[in-house]
Amino acid sequence: MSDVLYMAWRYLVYHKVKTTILIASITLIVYLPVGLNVVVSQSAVSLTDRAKETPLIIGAKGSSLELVLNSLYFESSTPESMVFGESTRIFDSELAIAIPLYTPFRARAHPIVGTTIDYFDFRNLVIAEGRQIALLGECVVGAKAANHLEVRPGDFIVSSPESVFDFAGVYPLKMKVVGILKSHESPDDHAIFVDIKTTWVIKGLAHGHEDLSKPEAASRVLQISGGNIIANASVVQYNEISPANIDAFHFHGDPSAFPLTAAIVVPHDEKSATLLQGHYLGEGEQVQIIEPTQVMDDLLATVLAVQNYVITAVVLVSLSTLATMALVFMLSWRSRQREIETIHKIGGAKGRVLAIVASEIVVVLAMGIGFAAVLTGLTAIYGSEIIRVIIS
Amino acid sequence: MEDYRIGFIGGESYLLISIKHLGFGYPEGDFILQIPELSVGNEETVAIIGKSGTGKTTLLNLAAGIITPASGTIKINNEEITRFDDASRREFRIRNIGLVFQEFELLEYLTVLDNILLPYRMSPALALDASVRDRARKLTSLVGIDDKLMRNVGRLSQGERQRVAICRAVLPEPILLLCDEPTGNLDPTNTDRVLDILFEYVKSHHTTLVCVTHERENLNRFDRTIDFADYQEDP
Repeated sequence: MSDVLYMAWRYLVYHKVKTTILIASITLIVYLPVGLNVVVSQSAVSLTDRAKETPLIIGAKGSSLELVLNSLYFESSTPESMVFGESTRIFDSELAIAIPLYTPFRARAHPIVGTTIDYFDFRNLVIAEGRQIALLGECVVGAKAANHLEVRPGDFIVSSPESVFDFAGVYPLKMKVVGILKSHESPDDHAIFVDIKTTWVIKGLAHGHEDLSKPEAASRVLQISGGNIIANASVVQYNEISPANIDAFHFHGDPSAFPLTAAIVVPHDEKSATLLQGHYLGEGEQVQIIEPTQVMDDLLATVLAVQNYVITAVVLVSLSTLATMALVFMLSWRSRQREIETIHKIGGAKGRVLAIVASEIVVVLAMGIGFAAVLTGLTAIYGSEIIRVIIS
Repeated sequence: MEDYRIGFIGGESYLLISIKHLGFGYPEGDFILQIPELSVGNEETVAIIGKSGTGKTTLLNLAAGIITPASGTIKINNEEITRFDDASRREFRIRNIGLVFQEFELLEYLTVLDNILLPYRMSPALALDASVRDRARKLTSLVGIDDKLMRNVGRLSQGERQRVAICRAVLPEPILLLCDEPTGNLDPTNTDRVLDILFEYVKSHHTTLVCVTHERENLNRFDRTIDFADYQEDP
C-alpha cells in the first residue's frame, strides 16, 4: 500500500500545476456551500442576537436597514441625522428611556460612538482597565480597537479628519483614553466611545479657543460689538480638551437641534413600546421608530433566499467542475497508456496501476476536502469578522 | 559469410528458452509468426536480426509472456509459461525476466532511483528492502549514474536513460535478459558503453541474453545470431 501511495504522490508532485488546480477545484466545490452556510448561520445568530437585545430604535426617516446596521454595528454608511430633541421627546413621553447615538466620525477606521453612560449599562459593557468617561474629550476604547490602535489609559486617539480640503469643516480632535473595555465579542469591541457632546465638538458645534477678552489676545480682535467679539483667523483654537482649557469650550446654538444618528429606545414595558410606536405614525413625522428584530428578520429572509440561489449556482458549477475533473482523469488515463503498458511489460501487477490512479484521485479529493475543512474552520472562527467586513 | 541461423546447443537440461511448434498471429493484419523449434542455452548471448516486421519484437514479447501464442509451447527455465494464467505470467516475468526497450520506457515523474526500483514497487512478488536499495545504488555506481540518483529521468541524456533502464531490468537479478534494440536510439559511443554494461553484467551474473538488434557490426560480441528471415511465413 505504501508503494502505491508513494507512486501516486510522486505523480501528483511531478504534475504540480495540474494537481494544484484539481485540489483547488475540490476545495472550492466543498468550501463554497459549506462556508457560505457557516457564514449565513453565524450571521443569522449574530444579527438576531444583537437585534433582540435592542428593543426599538428611532432615527431620521430613510433606510430602516441602514439605520439598524449603523446603530447596532456602527457600520454601513451613516444615515441621515435627526435632532437631539427627539431623544428628549422620548424621555418626556415617560414611556421609555432613550440612549442617543452619534456615529459619523472615525479614528483610523474605528467608529467613534458618541453616546451617554446609559449605553454601557444597556449593553452590559465592563471596563477592564481605567475608568468611565467623566469629561468632555475623554474616550473609552473597545478591546479590539485598543489592541489595534495600541492604546492604554493615558494615551491619546486623534479623530480622523473628514476632509483635508474643507477648512470650515471637521477638525481632528485629540481625545484622551481613560478606559479600555473588556472584550464582549460584539461590535462594541471595535468602537471608541465618547460622550455625545465630544462628537459635537468634533462636528464643530462646540469649540474652545483662547480668551479674547484678555489683553494678550488684543492683536487678534477685529471688532467688539456689545457682547460679541470678532477675531481674525490667527485666533488659537484648541484641538485637545484638557483640564486647563476645558472651561474655554462652549457650544453655539440650541443643543436640542444638535444632530444624532439614532437613539436606542428602551420602553418600560410592552404597552409603552406599543404606545410609543403609535406616536411616530403621523404623516408629517420626520422620525421613524423601528424594531431591529423585524428589520433583521427581513434582511435574513433576503439573505437566505440569496443563499439558496448561490448554493444552487454553486452546485451547478460544482457538477460541471466535477465533470471536467473526470475528463481530466480520463485524459490522464489515456495519456498514461504507454506508462501502463511499460508496467504491464515488466510484470507489474494489474491491480497496482488501478490502485495508483485510484490513490491519486483519493489524495486529490482528500487534500481538497482537507483544505475546505480548514477554510470552513477558519470561517467558523473568523465568521463574525467576515460579517463585519461584509456589513461595512 | 557467417551463418547466423540457430543451431541446437547442448541437452534439454541446459536450455533456458525452449520454443516448440510456436504459431502466432495478430487478430488484425495478416502477420503470422511460426517457429518450429528454437532454443537458447543457459548463459548464452544471442542476437536476433532481421528486417522490420519479421516478428523479432513479437518473439521477445512471447518469450516474456507478455503475449501468448495461438499454438505451441514456450518453456523458460523448464517452466512452461504458455500454461500460466496472466497473473502467474506477470509474476514469473517480474521475478525471472529483465526487459530493456529501445525507447527506455522510463517513468518521467520518477527519479533515477525510483525508476530502478519500479519492479519492486509494482509487484507484491518482489519485496523492497534495504538490501534492494543498496543493490540499486551499487548498480548505478557500476554504470556511472550514481551521482544522479535523485534526479528526474527527464533531465538525463539518452545514454544515461538507457543505463537507468538496464539497472531497472537487472535489479531483480533475472535469469533472462530480453533487450529490444537497446542501442537503437544511441550514438556510437553510448552504444558501445551500453553493450559493454550489458555484456559485463550477463558474464558476471551468468545471465542469458537475447537481444534484438539491427547493428551487424556488434554481432561478433554475441555467442550466436538468429536471423529472423527464417521464421516468417509468407502470407
